[in-house]
Amino acid sequence: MKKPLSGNASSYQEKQSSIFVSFLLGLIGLLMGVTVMVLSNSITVFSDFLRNLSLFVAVLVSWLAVRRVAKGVTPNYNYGYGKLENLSSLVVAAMMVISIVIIVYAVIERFQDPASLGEVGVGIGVVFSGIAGIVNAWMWRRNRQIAKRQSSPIVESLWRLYRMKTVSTLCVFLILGLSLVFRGYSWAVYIDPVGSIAVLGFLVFSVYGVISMSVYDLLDGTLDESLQLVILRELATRFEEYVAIHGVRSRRSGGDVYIQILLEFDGDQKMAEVQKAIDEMKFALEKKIPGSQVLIAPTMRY
Amino acid sequence: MELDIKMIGDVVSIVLKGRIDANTAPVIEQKLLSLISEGAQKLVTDLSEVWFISSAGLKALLVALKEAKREKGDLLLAGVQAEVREVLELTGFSTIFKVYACAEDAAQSFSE
Repeated sequence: MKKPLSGNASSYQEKQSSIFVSFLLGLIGLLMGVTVMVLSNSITVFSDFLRNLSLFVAVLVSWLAVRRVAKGVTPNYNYGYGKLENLSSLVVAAMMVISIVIIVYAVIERFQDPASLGEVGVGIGVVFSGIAGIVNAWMWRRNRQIAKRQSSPIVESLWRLYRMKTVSTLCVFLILGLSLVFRGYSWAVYIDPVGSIAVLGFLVFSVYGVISMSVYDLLDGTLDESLQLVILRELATRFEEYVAIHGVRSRRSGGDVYIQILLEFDGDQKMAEVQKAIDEMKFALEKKIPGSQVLIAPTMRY
Repeated sequence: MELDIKMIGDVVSIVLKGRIDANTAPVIEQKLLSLISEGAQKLVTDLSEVWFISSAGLKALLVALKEAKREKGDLLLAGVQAEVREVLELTGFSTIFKVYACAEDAAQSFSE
């Protein structure tokens, strides 16, 4: 029988809600993008549309992953569900890479064969991108706040995507605005493909961030240096409570952090005293390192 | 990273040079533990030519200090550079390690 993840239920609901809002906004953005793309013939809008399409698919996959995690676990994969989040982050990255290839091809083609833009479409695009910029900035702020409260690769990749969306939407707004203002000049046909290169830059930057973070997590990377120092500080603070250190291991799985510390205690101590020392250290570390599960095992020299 | 062993009287001075990171820390830890298991009780780690120490390096020193204390000995630090001193203070290591200006001063402290 499947059981809900009681400890993380509220955080998963918050993530689900955030991802669902992203899903709806993505759908609206896509419809707006297709309209402006057809009417304006702008390669910048086309690039932005592909980026939005990547985000939409990414958000859809993320939402399904989080739903699967929140639904319940089976005894077969006690530790494996966190990786669903990492896998969906890699899907985001894969979509972006495909978008990059398509945009590069389209930009080269547009430089070779410049085309003028549809004025009505560009005008609508300026209005739409202005509205989208405000909505994206709001989503960026919202997901950033959730990411601060929870350690989750999905929410982390979402706020980074919305940060990129906000800046690139502003870029689209400027490019379309400039194309409209300078439409009478012959060189104005190059404003659009140059602008699409800027959108491309944002995509490349995001792909690097998402891939490096997801691969690190998927390969069970140890904790970063700042958190390792937190563990050592705790061991130093409680220096007199144990006799020897026989190992400190850590790994990440999705948003969870697992820390295992092997300590040797004085053989004359009662088990209750040892357990008290272990509990205090465990709770102190779990409080200092969000999302961590600390296991402190009493061991002997081997 | 370089590791040299010098004797200052009956004190074993382990002179480290370069970076102490995840790659070099296990070597240092093993060397310190083997010295302790061979009977060395008075140990000084000379860090005067170390400008970087990672968490792995700190852990190696902590493990060795615990082992030295268990064997009724001690492990002192000497010549700690400003960058390393900052990390020691940040992690609370400056409260559990005795730190001296140079290896000779640290060695001298054993006879006081």
